[in-house]
Amino acid sequence: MGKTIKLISGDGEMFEVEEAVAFQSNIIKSLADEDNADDCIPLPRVDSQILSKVLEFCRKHANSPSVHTKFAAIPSELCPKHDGSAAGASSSESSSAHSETCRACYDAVMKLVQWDLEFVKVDLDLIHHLLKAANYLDIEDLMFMAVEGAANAIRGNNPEEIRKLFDLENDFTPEEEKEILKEYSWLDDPFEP
Amino acid sequence: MLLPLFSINTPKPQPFPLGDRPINPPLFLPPQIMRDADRGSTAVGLCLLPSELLHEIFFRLALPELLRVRSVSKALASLVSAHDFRRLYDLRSDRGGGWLFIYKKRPPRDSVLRGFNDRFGRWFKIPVVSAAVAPGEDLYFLAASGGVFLFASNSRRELVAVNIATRSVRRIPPSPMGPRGTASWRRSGLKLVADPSGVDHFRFLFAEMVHNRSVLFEYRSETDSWRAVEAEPEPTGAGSTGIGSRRDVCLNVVQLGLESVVLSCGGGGEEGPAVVLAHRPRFPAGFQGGPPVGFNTSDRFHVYGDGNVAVVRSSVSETAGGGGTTRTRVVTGVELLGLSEDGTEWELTSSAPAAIVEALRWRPYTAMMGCLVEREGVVRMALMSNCRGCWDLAWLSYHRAQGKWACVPVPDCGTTGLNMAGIALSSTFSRSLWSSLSAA
Repeated sequence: MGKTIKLISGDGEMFEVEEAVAFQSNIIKSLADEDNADDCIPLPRVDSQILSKVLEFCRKHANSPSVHTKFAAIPSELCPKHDGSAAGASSSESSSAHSETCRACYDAVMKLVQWDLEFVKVDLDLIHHLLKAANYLDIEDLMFMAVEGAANAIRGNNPEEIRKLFDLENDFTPEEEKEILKEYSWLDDPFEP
Repeated sequence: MLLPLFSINTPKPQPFPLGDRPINPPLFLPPQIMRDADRGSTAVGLCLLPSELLHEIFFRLALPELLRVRSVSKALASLVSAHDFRRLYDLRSDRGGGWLFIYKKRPPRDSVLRGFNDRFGRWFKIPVVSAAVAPGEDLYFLAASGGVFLFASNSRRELVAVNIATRSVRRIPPSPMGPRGTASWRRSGLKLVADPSGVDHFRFLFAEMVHNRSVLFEYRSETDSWRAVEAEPEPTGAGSTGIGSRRDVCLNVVQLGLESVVLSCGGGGEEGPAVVLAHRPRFPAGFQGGPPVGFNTSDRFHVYGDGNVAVVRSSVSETAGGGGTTRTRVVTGVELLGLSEDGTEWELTSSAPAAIVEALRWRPYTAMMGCLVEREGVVRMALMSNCRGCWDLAWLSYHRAQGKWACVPVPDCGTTGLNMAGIALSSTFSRSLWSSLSAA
């Protein structure tokens, strides 16, 4: 185990994790850089249940290329990928180019994305806490996935279902509701060839 | 093959929008938000998030889903209807591929305009043929921009502009060229430009040879009138290249063997374009002018648009079936050329890589038509091919800065047995959908 960092959650629980894991958070990273004698970083705004979920995410991402910051250019659907021809593309600066052309790298990144998607397939309440934690701790990848998870939860649901998800009241009058739905009913048109 | 990464509850999975970055710099939540959550209330705290975070979530939704959010509650409706949100949302969606529209006719009276956007991954029916347009009127779809859809009416030999945002139909008076039928319109280089400020106004331009001179015709909806500007030949010599950079609109006029004539216009204001130039760019060797529609007798055809030309090469193949063999063609190459800085040549921009051509190769065709647009450094072209009554659509794009080609998969929209009466690309359609949204 490499150098570790101790994190204290809002409800007083201690988590000891490797630097590479903890430093996924830019906030933790900058707090650790300041000369902190006990290597103990308090995080009063994150409770232990959420922090452990966050650390699970960070552990998975610790030694992978960031999916969302380096893999910015999706190769086109039909761009040829050179299987395993990673020769010469070993430096980290060319890691994005490497991901695009090396099959093994590409597969690893895709697998990570799949894992991320499963990770955020949780109820909206947990997503809400993950979003706040990712925002507070400045963890880009987690922020990205939590937002995507929230959007996923909304997609494919009609307004009534979305209301249930957000625990909201329908404060439109029936006339107002009908007006709104009528304007854009063409977008909902079921497709008939 | 890049697999769709999401399985979501809509008819087709969307491509994963990688590259979208979360908001930066991070916000620190005001203490009262934390207190609400700490209270452990049963209400889902998602709505208590700062609006910037909620925006991030809503940016991820396709337009139909977003509009559904609008009917959830007044609070969400006002968030989604806010001008700032709409502006940011449009900026994000414009990074997508834009829209592809096709107009299908099922004689004698049935017709429908369909739109496809790769971000949403499915076809939508666009309600343009309303009661204001005479049922059974023989229309041909020419162009789309913002919320305006332009048709040529063959029965009445005039142009009809339908605005889907304001639900208005405008019949355009004849140009100085007089009433024209569809065939003439299909030949000309033309461009529809909706007013970007979102008001129900537009300009329509087309170029034509009149008595051996190139003329640009411009219609403005604000004044409901036409003006004709004769093109000046491209000035040669020192000091002329300054004009070349002001090519707001480029229209091809005609191809004459090795040369083609292209009009460019730029600058100008209320009274019309300031400068209209006629260029006679030469094709490089091996690229002589081809017809604008690829029938089974031509081994290459040209698709013009916005100062570019895509050359689609093909070769003959015999296709068996239907009690005999049909002489068909298959695409063997696509090359993109652009107008040179000084307007004297078509310069090769890029050749489509083998993988792209491979995607087009398996579709034998007897006739092909296409359209091409360029916007913000991305060239997009749609190629529609027909083989024995079956229509095939291919959507290619070329990103200048990255030097990359892409082929957008287009799902079938049920075109067998129908007449295809026009195809167009537009990247500004989404903006028009907001204008009829009133603040909640």
